[in-house]
Amino acid sequence: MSEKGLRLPSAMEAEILRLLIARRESYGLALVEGSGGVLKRGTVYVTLDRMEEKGLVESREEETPSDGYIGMRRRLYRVTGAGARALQALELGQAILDGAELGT
Amino acid sequence: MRLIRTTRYSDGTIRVYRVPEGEALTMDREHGWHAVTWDAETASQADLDDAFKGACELAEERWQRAEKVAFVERLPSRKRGPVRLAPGSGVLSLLCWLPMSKQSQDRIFRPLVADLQHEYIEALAAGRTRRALALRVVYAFRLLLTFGAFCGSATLKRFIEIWKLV
Repeated sequence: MSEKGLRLPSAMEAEILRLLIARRESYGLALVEGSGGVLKRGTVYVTLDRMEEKGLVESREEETPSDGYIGMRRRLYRVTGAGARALQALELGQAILDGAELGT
Repeated sequence: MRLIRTTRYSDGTIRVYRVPEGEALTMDREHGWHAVTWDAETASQADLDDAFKGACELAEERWQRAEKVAFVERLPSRKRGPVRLAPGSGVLSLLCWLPMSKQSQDRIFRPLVADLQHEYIEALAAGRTRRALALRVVYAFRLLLTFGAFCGSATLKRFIEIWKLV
């Protein structure tokens, strides 16, 4: 998707972006567990799909499952450059609204 | 799948299943998981028969010692292709019948099922069989919730498209 049409992320999207930046790469359920109740198990995958469509995150399949696992491969998500900039813009806007002093 | 034996004992249950070709077995032993896990691609029928026999003998032996025996769990069949291992494989087959794009299946439901499977396997590996069983029930709700969210999102998207046209 073109970055021209990029909009600020919603609260849920921002939470996902923060978690992904902190962890570098993660999968859906781990994000839910790490969000402290902000993200819900029922909606996180739909949100991640939407974010991927917007170009905020990208995903890949886990290369090889952990030892002994023969289940399906998990999908790992990571933030794109556009995602990081969208979060930065949101936080900057929030800081202005909150009246925080901005660095020069 | 042919049920060989179901016996209730104290607070535990013995459930030993005949495992079809290509499937493997795991079994609870001393609160840890003695995994008789097979690579479904390479295991021969003889390997699987041996594994099954071993699991039955172990169940019997523990039964004789009046110990609690958990259950022998079915693992995946090679006939199902790359998507296998309960729970979830059946759900993915079912999704093919729903009006949903391949992309939605790949980007929403497959990651969900994969995560659920890993959570289930981790619970089994940690010897938390009751939690694992409870998870199987919870999965149905999570899948329904995700399907609900997917339908809601798709409807909203369609509505916005129509709105733009109008």
